[in-house]
Amino acid sequence: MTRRINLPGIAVVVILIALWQLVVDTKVIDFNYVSPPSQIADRIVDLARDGELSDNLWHTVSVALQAWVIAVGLGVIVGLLLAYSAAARTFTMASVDALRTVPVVALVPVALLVWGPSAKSEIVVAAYAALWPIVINTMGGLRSVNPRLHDVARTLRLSRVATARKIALPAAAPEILVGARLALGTSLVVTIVAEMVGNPAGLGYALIEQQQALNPAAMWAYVIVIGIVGVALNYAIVGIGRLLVPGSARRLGDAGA
Amino acid sequence: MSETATTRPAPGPPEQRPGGAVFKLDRVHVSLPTQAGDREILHDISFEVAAGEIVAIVGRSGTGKTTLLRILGGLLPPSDGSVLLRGRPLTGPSELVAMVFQDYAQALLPWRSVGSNVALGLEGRLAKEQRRERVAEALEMVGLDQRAADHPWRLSGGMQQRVQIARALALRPEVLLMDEPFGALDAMTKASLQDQLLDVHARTGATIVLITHDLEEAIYLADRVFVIAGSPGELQAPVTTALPRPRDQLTTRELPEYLQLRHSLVTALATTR
Amino acid sequence: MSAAAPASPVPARRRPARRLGRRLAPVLGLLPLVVGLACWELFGDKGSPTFPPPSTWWDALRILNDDGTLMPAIGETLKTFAVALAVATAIGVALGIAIGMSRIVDRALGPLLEFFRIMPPPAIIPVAVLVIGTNLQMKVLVVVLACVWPILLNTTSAVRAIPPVRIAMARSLRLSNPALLRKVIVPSTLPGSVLGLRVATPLCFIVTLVVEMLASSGGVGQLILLNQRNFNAQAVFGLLVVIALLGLALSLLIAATESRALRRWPVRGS
Repeated sequence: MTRRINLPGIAVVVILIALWQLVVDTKVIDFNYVSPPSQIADRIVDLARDGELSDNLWHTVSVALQAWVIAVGLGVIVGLLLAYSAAARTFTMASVDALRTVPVVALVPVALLVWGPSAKSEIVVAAYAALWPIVINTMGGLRSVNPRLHDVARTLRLSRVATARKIALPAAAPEILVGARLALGTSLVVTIVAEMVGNPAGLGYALIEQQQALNPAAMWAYVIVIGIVGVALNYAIVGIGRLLVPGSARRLGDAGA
Repeated sequence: MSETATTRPAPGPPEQRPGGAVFKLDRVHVSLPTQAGDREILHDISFEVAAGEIVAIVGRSGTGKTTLLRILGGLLPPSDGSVLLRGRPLTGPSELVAMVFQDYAQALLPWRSVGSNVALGLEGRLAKEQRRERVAEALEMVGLDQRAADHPWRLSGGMQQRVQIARALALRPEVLLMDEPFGALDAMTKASLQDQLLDVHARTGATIVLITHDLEEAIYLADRVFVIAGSPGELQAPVTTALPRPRDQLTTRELPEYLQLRHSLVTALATTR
Repeated sequence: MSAAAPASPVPARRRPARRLGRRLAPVLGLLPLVVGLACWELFGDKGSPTFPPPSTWWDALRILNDDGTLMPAIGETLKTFAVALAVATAIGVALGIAIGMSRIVDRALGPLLEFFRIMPPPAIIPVAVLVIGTNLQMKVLVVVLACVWPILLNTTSAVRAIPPVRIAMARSLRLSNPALLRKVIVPSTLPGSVLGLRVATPLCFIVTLVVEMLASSGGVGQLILLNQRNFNAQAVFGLLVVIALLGLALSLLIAATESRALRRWPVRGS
């Protein structure tokens, strides 16, 4: 893909930031709680310097990643099972669908109730939420593997495990990767919600804390940081995906890009 | 402003039509921008199309036939040279001209019924009653008057192409531009549609410019056949068929003149790049 | 929807056992859930502070209903959901078409929209509360910012998938730009937008709940959180079921709307 510099895009962003700064400086509109970008930038530097930012950042990111890893591990196994066993599907699919559609945020209060305010309840809910995209995509990816490939495996007399490992999983990899990307985003969001609602730790809690202390600049600072974390994690996994599964974007068309 | 579709009477057979050139292209060049800079598609194209004629354009793929048709249809301006329609420069799609595209499935709107598709070009221009009349007339001309309420995806390929032709005919155009209209159809449907096209031509006297890769079709249908060759495409001198009308799938195709034409055109095409 | 098994090439009437199995699949599939709940009911401790058995949930819900908190909360949630989904659809389709049709608009808005798309909605909530206040506008803004994306992206790709010959055909018929938009482009993108709507619906519901929880702004979201803070486990689980059922009902509603809207389109693949 040609990588020309996106001038119109950069222009729009720059113009908006400049406009924001201008509007607040000249007090054209007096929003008490809309801080100028200059102040936000200062605040980010302050928070970074005194370690508060990095502590919260570390907490949130590590919780989200732990939950994600659990979800991926468990999800791929469950996905494999469901893909290959019609019996398993018959006896569980409806339950999976039912559980899958329960809004995960509603489970945050449940987790807080059971495990109290702790990183553990964050991880449990985030992992639960991230599980489903992985299960669905793994199952979907495996079941849509070209039947010709299975014929190849049988003519080469590969064992079931070898077939899964050498043929099915690599063939389903692009779709599993899409599921993993969705799961990472989900894990991050649920983690932050859990922090905002119950567990006093991490970026989510810090954001609420600043809001309630009426420190608008610091609050905006955390919003920006959270946005950046989301973007960074997204690019990270896309990059890792390109390394591990080269050509997945091409195989999936738009969806994988 | 030329006569609008509402006021122009239904055109008669070719002998009675006002004569003169419908299209006049003079030294037309077309270049299109690509990733590697501008690429010339058509080079120094000059020709005329007389009123009521059927002209066929044949050539290998990549010679710019479709681009030429888009020029005639006003969808693309030439990079150089002039395009005159009835003596006036062409600046955009003209109401005197109707186009029929090769990909009938995509050129019809799947969510509209057949009748509604045929009416597409008339909406906002004719009153409801008149639209209905025109649609009925056009569908009758292609033999689909019973299918007005069906949706295109229920019809066969040949029928869908006829719907497109009906849509064009509903406009009572002076000129029909057709881009490989029967290319995607089987031989029997093709033959049937060729004859229907000749029938339409006899009844309306419309000028027809037709692109085809099927040489036999070109000879069978046309008064003159142009060969376009090379990349960028250039027009070779046209071949006049001078075969008697009305034409017939069996007898016309067995005429010695027909076979001669076929022979010379096949040779002409074979020597092109 | 449960994933369908591949169609059998043998006519259905010759395989009664298999057809029966497939018919029963939804029921059989719920077995783990039903068995789990049954065990919980039988072996659970009615007085448990963290895992009260299902029967207690119903009692707790009845109490909430009797003291007039349940129904208004459900109404509030549904109101926010409906308004936000409508706004998201309008914006998603309009922007989606604009971006799909114009490369410049696409590149200009691209990075900005990408940033908002990846921004986790909960992070916007405290900001929105401070800047706008705790009201319907704030809730709708946040929910729309979260769930407009599936609609927008699907509409954009539907616009890009319009066969060029269709546009050429419309131009050859000299359709004016508004007519082109109305008669060709919007109908062409309808199936894509509807797909986006179907994906956006559960998302809209979830973020509505999140906003209610984080901004203490009424609705079932706030209610369930309140009960958690009061350690009312029975009510929490009961409300969880209410939420799950609401989500299901909304999804079914949108699926039905989708069928109606697309009845003039050919079935996929024909």
